[in-house]
Amino acid sequence: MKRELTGFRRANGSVGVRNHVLVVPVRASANAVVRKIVNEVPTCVSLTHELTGREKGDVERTRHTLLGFVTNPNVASVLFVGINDSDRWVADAAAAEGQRVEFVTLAEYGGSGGAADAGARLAFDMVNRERANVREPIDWADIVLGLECGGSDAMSGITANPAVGVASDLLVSFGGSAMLAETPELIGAEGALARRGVSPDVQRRIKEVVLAFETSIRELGVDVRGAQPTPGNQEGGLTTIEEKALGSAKKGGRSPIVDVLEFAERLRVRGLNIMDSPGQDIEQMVGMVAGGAQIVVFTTGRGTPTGSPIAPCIKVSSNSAMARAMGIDIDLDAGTILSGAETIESMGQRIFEKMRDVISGEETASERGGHREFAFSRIEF
Amino acid sequence: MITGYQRPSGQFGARNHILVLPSVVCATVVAASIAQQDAVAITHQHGCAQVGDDVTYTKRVFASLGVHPNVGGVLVVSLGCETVQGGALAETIEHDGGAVRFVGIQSAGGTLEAVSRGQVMLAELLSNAALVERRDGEASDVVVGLDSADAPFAGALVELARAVGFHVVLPRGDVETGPTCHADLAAAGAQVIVSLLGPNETAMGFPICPVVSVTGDRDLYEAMPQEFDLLASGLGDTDVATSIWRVVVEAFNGLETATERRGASDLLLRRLSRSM
Repeated sequence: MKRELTGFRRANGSVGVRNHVLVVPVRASANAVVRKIVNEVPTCVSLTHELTGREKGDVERTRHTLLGFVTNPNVASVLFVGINDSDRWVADAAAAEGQRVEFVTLAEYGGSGGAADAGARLAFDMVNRERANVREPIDWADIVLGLECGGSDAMSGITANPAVGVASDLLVSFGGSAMLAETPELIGAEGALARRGVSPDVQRRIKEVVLAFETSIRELGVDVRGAQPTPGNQEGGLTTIEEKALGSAKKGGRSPIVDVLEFAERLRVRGLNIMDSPGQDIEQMVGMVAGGAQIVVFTTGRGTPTGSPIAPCIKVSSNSAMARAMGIDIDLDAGTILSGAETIESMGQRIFEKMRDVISGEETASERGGHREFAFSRIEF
Repeated sequence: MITGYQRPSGQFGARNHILVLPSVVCATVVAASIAQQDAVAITHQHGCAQVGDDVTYTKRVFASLGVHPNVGGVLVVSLGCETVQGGALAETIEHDGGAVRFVGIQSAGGTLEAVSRGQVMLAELLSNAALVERRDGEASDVVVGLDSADAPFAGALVELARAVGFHVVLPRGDVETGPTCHADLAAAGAQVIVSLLGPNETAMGFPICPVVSVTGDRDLYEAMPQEFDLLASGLGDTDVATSIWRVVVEAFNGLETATERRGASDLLLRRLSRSM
């Protein structure tokens, strides 16, 4: 029997696939308090970050990313931890976007210890309050899927990525949306992708974002090898960024590309989108989740355990040897395509079914492992 | 009087930390699982898809942590496919005289196996480090890092420290993200860092160094005095400098500073260019 697709319908009409209470430091100097709170109330999730408030560059970019992230529909409510009242702006901005927020400061509770105690009590109450939210039937059209590959190898573009492309096409055919991102990992594939743009404007923007990233690398005047492809990619048989990109782009299947989004920009048009993002796995995932992705499918050849504080992340291995070695960190093995036990289409169907189960509440390997990595993408220094 | 930990390299430490150092953000959860409460697990968000001077700088900071005088041993935790290769980092630390062990998540066969292997290595590092005891040192063993040269009492503090024979490391040029440069001060050998905070700010700790937090914001200080080590307000520059100097000596000799009590594990890393 096929399981029903369920999620949490939020007051603003958006749909979450998780019901998290998220604890967030406004400044990095509140990270330690956030850690204490989630230590006391492990049913919460949290992120920590490196912004001190003194940054001159990227102020808009990081603010936009954080606001998008905390208003993702997987988050039922947010507890912000600040130093004093000067940090209230983030909670106010999130509340203005319709999110349920609470705000504590070190100053009002006499320092870290008091703020951690008060924050933990508040977080406990928030978790209890959000338990009233119940899963309801939802539609595939409510779903935004983030597509990601990390620690790719020469099999990624042959097995896992095309299979994910099949799952992505299935989702789009049911009215849902997907995001293809990691711009440097599209270099060389931009022509093929642009041909799938639904309008001359989308076609132009696909080429533009890829060219802009390539230009920014060129302007640095450095050898990009070691960063793209990484040492692990190279050991796995990927020789150039173009080779990696042609495999990477397969995660987007064959659907038409309806829109091109800036980093962390909220999805506007249902269907397959491209988001301009770095390839660094954690920064990319944060950008897609900030853009509204409630679930991520992440292919890997070398084996990478990372996840997201708020979005379930399904790990698909490109080869069976790694899936066997790192079984605890992997959800599905697409290496079966190589052995002939399965086709790209049947594997894609299995990924799609896994998505349904995970959306409806099944935990992924990275969720079980407590992998909740977070990083801001910075471009101005 | 100064007491601390004599290192085989000739360096002298104010602390005897055992570090668990992830070479990439993807290894931070495993690093924290290995460290539990027994060691300092460093948290950061970098180590992959970096290029040029940016990756060179990251590698240099990571390597400097492994041979820092406050560190009695380091376990490098690698994912395996990352740009800042954990194995190479461990080799650099070993070459530079650090007590180092290495575990890779991919080579171990996943996160659980990496945690269990890492815990065995950590136990060995911890028992070796426990053999080193505090002993008397010289004033010339002390390197104090100052994260801002702008405060009015900074000059008096530098003079005072130099008069007793301490070395002082000052930030070079424009230091826009203050706390970030704690990594630079530590890399330059500072065992204790003095953080001169602006209005509305509390200090970021540094994972391996006592940070002496000095604020001039009286309202903030009075709202939460235990978040700071000193209030530098309403006193003359020389008096402030003398008070700071006393706390620096106490901190070096083992007294926990405000950030140490709070528990600091974040390494705020300066980035020179965007991730690829």
